[in-house]
Amino acid sequence: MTVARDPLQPLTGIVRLLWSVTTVLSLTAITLVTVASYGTSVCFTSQVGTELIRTVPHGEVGYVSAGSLRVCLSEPSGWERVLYLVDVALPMVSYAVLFLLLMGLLERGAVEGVHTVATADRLRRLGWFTLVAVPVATLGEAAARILVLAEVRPETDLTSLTAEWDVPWWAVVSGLGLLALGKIMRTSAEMRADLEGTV
Amino acid sequence: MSIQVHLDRLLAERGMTLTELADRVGVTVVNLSILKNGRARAIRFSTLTALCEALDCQPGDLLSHRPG
Repeated sequence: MTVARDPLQPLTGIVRLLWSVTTVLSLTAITLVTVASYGTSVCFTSQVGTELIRTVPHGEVGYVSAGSLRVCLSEPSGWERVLYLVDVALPMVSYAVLFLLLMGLLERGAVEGVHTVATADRLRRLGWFTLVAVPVATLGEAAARILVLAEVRPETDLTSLTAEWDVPWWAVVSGLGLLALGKIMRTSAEMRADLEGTV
Repeated sequence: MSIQVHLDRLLAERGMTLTELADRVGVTVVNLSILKNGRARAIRFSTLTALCEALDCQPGDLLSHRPG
């Protein structure tokens, strides 16, 4: 008896591996922040406020400048620990969910068939998540850093957030691409259903 | 669906079974059954021609439109 070959392998296997890695990293980060690091200092690295670090004359060559500012809180409050958790774990969690959705798309696609309305809907869901959730996660990460920075640097405002937020343009482009592909797939799935119902 | 298929009536009038018709028109019994039960989404002109020839009828005898 021959076993039907999964047409979506080895992609499904790779995505499953990446999902496992990101999930383990997310859970480890959450555990370390909430449990293991309790009572210790937490540090945030920000790209805003680097002007606080004065450039230092460096011989005859020029100046040494810093590209990032590291803020360490020796006795963080509960709220600051939550912000630290958001800074450390949120992007990783969003990647884990992204890989979970992608894994579901590939696994269900292999079982139910690629050109189905359900697969097109899953692709659309993945597109919306990539387009919205991934940028929102990075925005949350930036907001967490800015909120901590605001405590040590009072002039930090909303414009600092736009400077700190590194917009993941790959997610915007990929999300739009996935949405377009989902739309195309839905049309082809409906066409397939029509063809199958043609006598 | 508002398109009605009268394959049942035509077969009964001609004393023909679905299997016999399938043999004559070269369409599987499964597909003819889909057509007979109104589950087909479309019908090819070639199938319609073969059915009309086998049943000696017009397309209008086989199909009708029910408004609403």
